[in-house]
Amino acid sequence: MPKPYQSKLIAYEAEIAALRATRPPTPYARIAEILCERYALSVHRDTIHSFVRVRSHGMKVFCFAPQVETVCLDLKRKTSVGPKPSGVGLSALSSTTDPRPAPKFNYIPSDRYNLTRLTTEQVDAMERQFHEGEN
Amino acid sequence: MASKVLFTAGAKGGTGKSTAARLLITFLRQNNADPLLLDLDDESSTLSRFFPEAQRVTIKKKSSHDVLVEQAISGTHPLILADLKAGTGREVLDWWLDVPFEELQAMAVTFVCFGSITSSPDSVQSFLTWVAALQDRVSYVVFKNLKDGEYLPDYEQTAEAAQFRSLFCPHHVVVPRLDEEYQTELERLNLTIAEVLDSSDGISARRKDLGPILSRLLVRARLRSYQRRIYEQFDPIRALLLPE
Repeated sequence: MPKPYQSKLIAYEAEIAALRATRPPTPYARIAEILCERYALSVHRDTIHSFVRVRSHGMKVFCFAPQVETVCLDLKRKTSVGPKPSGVGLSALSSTTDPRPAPKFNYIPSDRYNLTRLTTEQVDAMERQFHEGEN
Repeated sequence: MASKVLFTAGAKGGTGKSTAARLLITFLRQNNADPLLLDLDDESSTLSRFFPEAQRVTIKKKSSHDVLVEQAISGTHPLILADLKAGTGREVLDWWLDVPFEELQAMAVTFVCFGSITSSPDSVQSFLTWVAALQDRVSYVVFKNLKDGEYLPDYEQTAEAAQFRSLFCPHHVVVPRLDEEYQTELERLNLTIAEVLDSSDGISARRKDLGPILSRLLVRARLRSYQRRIYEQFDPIRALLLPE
């Protein structure tokens, strides 16, 4: 029997809650970018919106309902005990989630053309550099 | 039994994904491999039109793609070829992120991704988006489809594509431009080049009339030469394409 649907965002719930708890709340598109940068998780902003909305318990500007926010604050408090890592706050929260290996290849297309054109010589040099790096 | 899943990737339509799939299927069959064909393009169903035996998978939700993995782990088909539709970028990419690659590797299931790029920048951008999601969990074969010209600067002269080539060492297959008249006839009659070449007396093995253009001796000679040029590029990567 198929497993019931579970959002892939559950693992990042605390981080999303913290981002939505900022004043003003972090936009969904920015949250999508942050998740992509940190965990190579590709997710559409609408997915995050739906994810937050169902946990907002009818609040007008969607953020997590109080009990979830409390968990987040607890997490914040826990991370604030002892030596603080650089970039306290959201980065500290992210360390509580399961970190995934950094992706080898990063590319996030924008609405506009965002490839970097090089000359043939530059491409050759870049490929040589990669191969030398491997060796 | 080890399974290999070959699939087309890229969200942009009209880049030649299904054309590549067709050429690949006829090559595999010529080499005594009989891939299970999955047509996940529920809009144009290109694969099913050319290969009526292809299993059609209707994509209504994310889990519809699970059939790919289910077929692979069932072990009944050593080779599976899936043709994904264009425009499904986000949902298909999200699905790929759920695929338990490590567990599948333990079950000897491997994946080969076929990208198709043209001179359109969008074709390169959409393919690289897939690469960013799939990383090194699959092997890559890139079809350089010259249907719109031989100038492919966004694949050959950009930092992102150069990085992709260096990191993942993809195999390349150049698909030359085919005369529009022949291409249109093949599409209109839903015939593969192999079917045209194997036909006799102007009738294909599926009992289809080739029509006046594809029956011509010179046209068939050109199609044979075209197919040979592509098959010759498949030969060095036989091990990647054929079941183990």
